Amino acid sequence: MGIYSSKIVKIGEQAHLFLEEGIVVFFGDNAPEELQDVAVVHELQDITGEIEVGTTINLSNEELVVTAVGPVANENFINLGHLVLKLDSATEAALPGDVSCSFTNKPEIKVEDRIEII
Amino acid sequence: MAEYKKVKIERGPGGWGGPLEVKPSDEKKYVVCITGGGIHPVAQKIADMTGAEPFDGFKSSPEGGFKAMACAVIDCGGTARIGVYPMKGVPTIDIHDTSPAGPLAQFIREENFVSGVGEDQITEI
Repeated sequence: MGIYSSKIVKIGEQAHLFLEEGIVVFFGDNAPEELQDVAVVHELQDITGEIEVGTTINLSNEELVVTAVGPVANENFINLGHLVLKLDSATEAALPGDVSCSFTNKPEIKVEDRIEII
Repeated sequence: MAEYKKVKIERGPGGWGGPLEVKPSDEKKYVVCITGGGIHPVAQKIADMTGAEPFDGFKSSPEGGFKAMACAVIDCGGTARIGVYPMKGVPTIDIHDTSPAGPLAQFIREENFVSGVGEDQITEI
């Protein structure tokens, strides 16, 4: 049983500003419009654990491995369905909300893709 | 016509930006809170001191949208909300210690953003 399993239902019009910098901003589909605009929107499901260093995230069939977790990242995810993935392999989170990940290939995210946090 | 009072909001010890002066009006009467778990005490205090209406911005949007927001209170970890509300022209108060970052950093200025804010950073003027 993983921590989270859902599908992508929308990619906001301005999400590309972040994606181009290797940042995936997730919000749940209950978030206000202005936040969905900058986000990859997932269908909100139950969250059953905390993301830690070493956690595997399968996003759009690419495997990411968590290398750092900022101090407010889990709180944001649980309270708001909000997650900021940075594809920078950093071993220290640059910002309090960051979840840094290592990757082999950058995920090409499309609607209907899945996010699985294991 | 409701009576509104002005407050000053300063950065906390580890914060950035500000000070902001927030004075609601009949057109901008909502202190919108976009944090986990309802109305944050910082948003409640600003609303109580100014006479504005606290509004849970994660559940719905206030009538009038961004133009009706006296200010936004967020618990942003540094990347997204920190830029979204300043970009929309809403004075923004982050309870976490953050500074401008991310693709929207260009919209974040000392005149429209203050961080590290707790209840002690809000004073009547």
